[in-house]
Amino acid sequence: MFYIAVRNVPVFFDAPEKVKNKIKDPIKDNVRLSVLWIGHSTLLIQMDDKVIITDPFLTETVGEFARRVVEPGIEINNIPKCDIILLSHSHFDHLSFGSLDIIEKKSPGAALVFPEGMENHLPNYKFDMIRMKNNDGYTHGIIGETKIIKGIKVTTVYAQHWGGRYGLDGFVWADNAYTGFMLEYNGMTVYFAGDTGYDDKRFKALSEKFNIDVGLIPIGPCADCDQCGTRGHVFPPDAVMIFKDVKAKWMVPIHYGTLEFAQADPNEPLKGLNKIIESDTLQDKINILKIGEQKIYYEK
Amino acid sequence: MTAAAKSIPAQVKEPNPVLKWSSWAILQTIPSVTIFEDRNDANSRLRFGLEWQVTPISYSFNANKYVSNFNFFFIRPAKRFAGSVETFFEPEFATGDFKYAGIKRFMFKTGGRVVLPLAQRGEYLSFSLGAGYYNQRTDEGRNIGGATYEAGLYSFFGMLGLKFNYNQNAPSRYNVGIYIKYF
Repeated sequence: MFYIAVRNVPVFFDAPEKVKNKIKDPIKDNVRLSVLWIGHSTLLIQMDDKVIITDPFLTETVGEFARRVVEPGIEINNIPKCDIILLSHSHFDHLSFGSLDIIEKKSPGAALVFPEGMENHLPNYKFDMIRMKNNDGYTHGIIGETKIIKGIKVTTVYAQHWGGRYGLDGFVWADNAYTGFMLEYNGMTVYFAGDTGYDDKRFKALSEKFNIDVGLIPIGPCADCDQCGTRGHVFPPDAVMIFKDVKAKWMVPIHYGTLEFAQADPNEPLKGLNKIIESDTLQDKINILKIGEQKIYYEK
Repeated sequence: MTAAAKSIPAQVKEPNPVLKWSSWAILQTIPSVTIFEDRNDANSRLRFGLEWQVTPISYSFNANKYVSNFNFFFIRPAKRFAGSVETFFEPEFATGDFKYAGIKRFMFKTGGRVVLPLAQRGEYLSFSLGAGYYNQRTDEGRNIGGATYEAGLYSFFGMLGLKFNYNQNAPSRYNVGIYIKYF
C-alpha cells in the first residue's frame, strides 16, 4: 500500500491521459459478441441482447490515492444499461463504490454478482445483489456455483488470489472472497478470470467443462514481465498458459495500463506479452485492445 | 516464453479465529492522538494525550441483505461509514499532568453518534455527530461529569479522521484528535 501511494504522488499532479475517439454507442443490434476495454479489469461485454460490465472502475481514483493514468475508455453518459455487474473480489482496484454508484443511477435493477464473503465489504445498492459460492477460495474443486441470472448462465470458477479489502483482513483473517466467472448465453461463452495466479491442473480442467470463446485474462502488474507470476497474479507467460489451458478461442489481456502499481510502468506487462505473441505466433488469438477499443467477435 | 511453468499452491488460509481476534484486539490498542485543554481562570495550555475508540454497538442503515445491521465491537467499514448509528466508549489518558485544570490524567467519554457518508459511500469521506457523557476526576478524587458533544470527519476507508469534542462545564473542555481505528 505504501509503495503504491508513493508511486501515485506524481500521478496526482498529472491529468489522466485522454482517450481519443471513444465509442459512443457500444451496444449494437447487429453484434452477437463484443468486448470493450474501459481500462484495468473493467470491460463492457455484449452477448446478444445482454450487457455485462466487469469490476467497474470508472472514477478518477480508487482507494483514495491511486489515480488512473488513462481516463476511462468510455464516457460515463455512454455506458449502456447493464444487466449484470460482475465483481471478482474486494481489492480497491476491483471494487469501487463510486463506480457502482455511477452504474446504479442508470441500471438500478441490474444484478450485482460477487463471491461469497464479499458481502462483508459491500454497502447496500439498488441492485439485485447476488452472492455466489466459491468453495472457500477454491480449496476444493474448480466450480463454485452456477446460477441463471438475467437469462445468462453464470458460473463462478477457479481463481487463485486472496480476498479482503483493508490489508490485514485479506492476509491474516482468511478472507477468501475471490473468483473467476464463466458467462454462457446463446451458445457463446466468455471467461472473466478476475485476478489470479497460475495452476497447471485446474485451468486445464476448466477447458473440459466450457467451450470458451473469449478469455479476459490479467497479465500484470509486473516488473520482470518475462517471468512467471506470483501466487496471486499471473504475468504474461503464465497468463498465456491460462489462455492455452482453458482453450479459449481468443484472449483479451487486462489488468494493466491503468494504474500505477508498486512494481513498474503500468504498460510493462505488454512488453512481455508482445514477446510471447511474436515467438508463439499468437497474433490472431491474443487481442491487445487499447483503452476504449472494442473488439467485435461475432456479428449476426 | 522465458520462464518455465510451475504449479503454485493456492493462496488460501484456513480461518483461524484465535489469530483473527487476537490480531484485531491488538489493533484496537492503537490509540488516537489527542490534544487536551488544560486551563483555569488565569492560565491555559495544551496537553498531549491518547484516546482509544471502542464501539460496543452499531446499527447500520445501509447494510446489504446478506449481513446483519447490528454489530458489536467489530464493525466492517462498509457498514459503518455508509451510514450507521453507534454507541461509543472512549478511555483517555494525558501524558502530562493537568496542573491548571487540576484533574487526573485518566478520563473517559461515552455516548452515541451517527455516522454519515459524504463521498464514495463514506470510504473517501464521512462525518459523525455525537453526544454523551464525560467523566473527569479532580486531583482530590471528586468526579466531574457532564454532557459532551463531538464532531468527526473520516477518510481513508474510515481508518483516519479528525475528531473534535466539547465537554460542557468540564475542567478540560476542548479536545481535538487524530482518529485512528482499524475496524
